[in-house]
Parts: sequence; C-alpha cells; structure tokens
Amino acid sequence: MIAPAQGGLRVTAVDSLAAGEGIVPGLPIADARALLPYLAVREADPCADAEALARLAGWCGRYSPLVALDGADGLLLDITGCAHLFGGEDILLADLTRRLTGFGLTLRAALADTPAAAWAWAHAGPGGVLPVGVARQALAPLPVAALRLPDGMAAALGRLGLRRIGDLMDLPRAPLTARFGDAVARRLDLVLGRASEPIAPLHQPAPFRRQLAFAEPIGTRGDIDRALEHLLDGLLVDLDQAGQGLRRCEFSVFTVDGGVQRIGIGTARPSRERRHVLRLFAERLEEIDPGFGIEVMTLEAPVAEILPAQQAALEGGPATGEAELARLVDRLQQRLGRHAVVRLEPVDSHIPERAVTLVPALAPPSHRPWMVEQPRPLRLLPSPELIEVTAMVPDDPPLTFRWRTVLHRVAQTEGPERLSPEWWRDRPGTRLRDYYWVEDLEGRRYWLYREGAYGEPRAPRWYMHGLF
Amino acid sequence: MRVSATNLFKLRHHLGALAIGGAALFERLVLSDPVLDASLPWGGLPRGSIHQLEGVPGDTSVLSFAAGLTSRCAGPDGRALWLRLRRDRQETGEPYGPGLARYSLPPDRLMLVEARAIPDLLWALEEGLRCTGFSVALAEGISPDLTASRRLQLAAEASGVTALLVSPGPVRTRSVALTRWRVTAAPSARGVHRPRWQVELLHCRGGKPGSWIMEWDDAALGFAVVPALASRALAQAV
Repeated sequence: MIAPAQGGLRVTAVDSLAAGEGIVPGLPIADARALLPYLAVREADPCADAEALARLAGWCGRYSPLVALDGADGLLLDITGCAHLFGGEDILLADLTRRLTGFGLTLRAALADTPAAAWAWAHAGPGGVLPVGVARQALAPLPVAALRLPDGMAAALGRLGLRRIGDLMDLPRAPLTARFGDAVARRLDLVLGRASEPIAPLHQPAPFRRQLAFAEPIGTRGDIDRALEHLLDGLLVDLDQAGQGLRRCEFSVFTVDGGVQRIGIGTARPSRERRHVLRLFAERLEEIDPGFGIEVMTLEAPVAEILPAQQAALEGGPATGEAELARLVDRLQQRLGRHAVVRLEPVDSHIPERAVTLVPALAPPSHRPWMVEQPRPLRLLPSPELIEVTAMVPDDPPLTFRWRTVLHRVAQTEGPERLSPEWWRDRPGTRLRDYYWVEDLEGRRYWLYREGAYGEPRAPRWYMHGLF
Repeated sequence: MRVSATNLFKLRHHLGALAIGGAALFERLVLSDPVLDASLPWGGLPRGSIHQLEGVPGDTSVLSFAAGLTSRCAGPDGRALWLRLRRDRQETGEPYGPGLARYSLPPDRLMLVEARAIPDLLWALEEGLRCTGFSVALAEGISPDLTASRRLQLAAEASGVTALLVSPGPVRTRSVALTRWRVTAAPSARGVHRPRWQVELLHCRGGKPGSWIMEWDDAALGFAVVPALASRALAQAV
C-alpha cells in the first residue's frame, strides 16, 4: 500500500511476504521498487479502511457492548463481565481470533488488565492472554515503543540506553519526569494499572441489554420470533425491577458472515407491555436477512424512562382510552414514519403559514385556542400558487382569475385584509400581502392575495393560498 | 292495526342493523337540522359505521362539509383522526388550524396522519377505527372496494368509531357504506363568509335519496338546511 507523503509516495503498509524482503512502512516507493522490482503496489484508501474498521467494531458488539476505535487500525474491547458468557477469557480471545481470521483478516489480539497493557502485548509482545498479576514481568522485556510514547521520545530514551520497559520500571520517577515531562511516567502507570484509562466506546452502552448466543446458527422466522420474545422477556424483567419503561428499543442480529443488522422501534410513552413491543417489532422483522444464519442477538433499551410499577391490566382486556391511543400512535409511527403522525399547535404569528406548527401527536396540550379574528380557510396550500388576475382598476378585487389553467369568474369578494411582513423575522424587501375572500359563480370559495402594491417598482403578483 | 311512527322507526332501525349483520343497534348522530335528520331512516347519521362522501373534480367543498361532519361526530370532547395521502398535500392543501376553528376542532383533539400510499392509508384507518380513543376517523382520497370497506365496517362496528371516507371525485366502486353523499359548492346568498353546500344523498341503506342546500350554523355548530324556495328568492334578491 502506498500513499502520498512528504517527499513523494511512500509505503504505508506491507504484507508478510514484502516484509520478509525488507520492505517497511515509510520507505519511499522508489527505494522499495529498487529492493523488489516486481513489488505489487496499490494506493491506500484510508476512508474505506476507516469504514471497514467501524463495521468490524459493530460486529465486535457481539462480544461486548463497549467497543472503541483505537488509532486507524485497532479496536479496543472492554470485556469486563463478558468473558464468562463465552466460557472464559482464553476461549473468548480464541473465538475472536478464529472468526476474524476466517474473514480473511490478519490480526494480533491480546487481552490484559489495562487497555495500555493489552496494546503493548498485542503490538510488541506475542499476543494472547496476559495472565493477571504477571504484567510487570511479562512487559519488562518489551521495547519502550510499546508504551505508545509521543514521537521521538522512544528514540531519546534509547540514546540514554533505556530500551526496554523494564529499564524504566526501576528508575526513580523524579529525574525521569524532569527530563521527559510526565508522559513517560504516565504511560508506565497506565500499562501497569496504577492509573486508569477510560475508553471512548463507539456506542454508548444501553442501560438495559440482553444477549443471546446460539450453539447453532438460526435462520427461520419462527426461531427469530421466539428468540426475540425470550430476549424481551428478560429485558422487561430488568426494566420492571428498575421501575423503568422503554422508549426506544434496538434489536441487533449478528450473522455468521460478520454482518450486523439492527432494527429499532420507539414508543411515545414509556412501556413495559410485551405484546405491544412485539407487535411493533413484528412490522419490521421481515427486513432481517439471516443470510447463512444468526449466531448472536442482542436486545437493548438505549432510552428508558421512569414507569412506576402498576397494576397491569390483563393483556387483551379492555384498555383505557389514553393508553390505547399511545399504542396506536406507536404502531402508526412505526409503519408510516415519525413525522407522519402529528397534531397542530397554534403559534403567535399573523403570517398565515407561520400561525401553525406540527408537534408530536402525544405532545402535552397547550390548551391554547386558535386565534382567529378574520375567517381563515380550511386548507392552506403549502406553497402559494401564482395566478393570473383581471380587475377593473388595479387596486380593485379581482373580476376573474385563472388558477391551474381553469378560469374562474368571481361572483363576490370581501377584503382586503392587509398582512404586513414580520420585520423581525422576514428578510428586508419582503412585500406586504392583501388577502381577499373570493367566491366564484359556482360557489367555490378561495383565499387569494396580492403581493406588493401598485406604484412600487415591482409589479404586484397574485397568489392562491387557501381553499374553504 | 295502526302502526305508530315510533314503532315503524324502531323496526327500520332494527332491520338496518340486521342488514349489515351487526347485532347492536346503531347509536345515531343528530346532524342538528330536523329536516335532514328526519329524512335519514335512523333519525340521524348512524355512528360506528362507514359513510362515503364524494366531491367533483375541481371543487374541494366536500372537504369542508366533511370537516363539519367530523366536528358533529367528535362533539365537545371527542377525538378525531384525520388521515391523508402525502401526494395530495399541494393539490388540496393541508388542513389549516385557524380554519378548523370554525368547525370547532381544537388542536389537541385532532390527530393528523399522513400516508404515502393507499394501502398504508387503509391500514392506518383500520387501526384507527379499532381504537376507542377516537370518536371519528376521516380519511381523504380513498374509495375502498367491497372487501376493504367490509373490513372497515367491521372495525367501526366493534369500536363504535364513525368513519368518513372522502373521495375527491365520483365513487365508482361498490362498498358497504351505509350512506353515500355528493357535496358540491353552492353560491352563498349571505356573503362570502356564509358557505353553502349542495348536498345530495346518493345512496342510503333503507332510506330514500334526497338533495338539499345546507349551511354551517356557527352558533349551533351544526348543519342547517336552507329551504329551497328561500335560497332561490334570496339568491335573486342579492
């Protein structure tokens, strides 16, 4: 792999064969070609690499919810409390290595007490599980570069003869800090677990989470349904004990071929109703493509809210109007989209299109009535439509108008109602509007307006805005 | 034997209910005008069933009539569900709050639903009809076939929610709707702000078709039939 760098193209990554011939990252391409004329060269694509790494991070969610990216080519998993699910740390690491190798990836994996020690063990050591309590002895022979020191510092230490981590461990700290700042001492602390290092997980772990791993991959819809029900039962028990109800719920399936598929549902009110949640998921379970089989499933409730324990109504029994309404809203939103189920709410503005806003269907009511001084149309066109108008005198109400190619003869009109722009909100130059209520000969009623006035440099224009 | 009008009414009512297979008698909705209510065999519009309204192309008056009917169905504290197709947004405009005020539909009692396709709309309507939290569900832009309308009717009967199905043009499919109306604009005689509708009852199970000119009565929040003679005389006078 090559990429443009200082002084031309340089090698950024090599495979094991090229490495065996002495090609190392950082080498200019010309030198590499001189060493190995038949070297196969590809251009590096860091964006695609990053995407692939992020996908891989998603896949690693099967082992632990806490997965963080580490540099451009590393992943960090916090498996605290997860190892026993796989039969122990050794087995977990072996499983991870086997699967990733199966995907055709080359990797070095290590497991240790601290993220820094695991990094050192993976990059400079032999990898594998670093047993508890022996980190000090095991890490001592590793080169100081394994501490991930800032650029040049490893070389500077090397000039002093400090080449191994063990050399640093026994030194008094004061002179070390005086010479190199606190970076060296701090990195050493992190590796040895004397200081803690937080990791920044890609996905914040959900407060409620259940996981199910299958001995044999599953694939049929019936199996998926049953597994989901099982997960949900567990999740609902957790929620119930915490006195919480879920607002969002995410179902993830990990397939054999390394893919992750997620479907999510949302509820308008905190819920612990099994039947309701299953029904919401049922709408979307068809989207899941099990491929060659599903190995692991997780069900998470990333957003939960307080829902006090209550005497649950018998399932399928008569429900109260409000609860029933909330369930209906959830179902409608699940299928039609979040913004498809709304209600109107008045806004203080005299500009017609600003007098209304849409709010979620179950938003608490403000109990404000519509402010209506003059009659308003029942329907408002989202964008006013230009019409051709004839009038006796320019300032008069229209006699005829042509809208959507149909000529309307006006029988009676009322108006104008003059609406000035809101100077605190509209751009300068916004023109005032004169609204007319117009009825044509057939009795169809319209709300038209003239934008601007005669005598201005720009001629006024007429628009259709509402229908009664 | 002398058959009293009440008995006859009860019998009709009963037969009407049996005709569509429902065991319960319909609760009826009074449209507030005695002339109109008396011409319907139920003495008003039956709740818990579906009714079709059709307009004519280029005339959206049927939507304002439907809004009035929705308001009657919802009453002072019922909830209404209003379903539309997304593609009709620009064509017929969006329901406008301040305009709904006239028909006494306050913002917190009206839920708006927008669907992208007709199957979604029908599904949402059926879901809404099963929910007893609503008094009435209004769906714009559909005229379901026999099977779909039967499903809707069953859902409406079970919950008691009234369904109003509005079609922008003439309805060509058969359905099990109890009534079918055609609404067009009628010239108003008392100023632009007193809208009138030409309302034809095209089909009415167990009743006779009819035709009226109606106005919205802002005080009673109901429909008022304009006597044919008066409307003509007034129209000429203006």
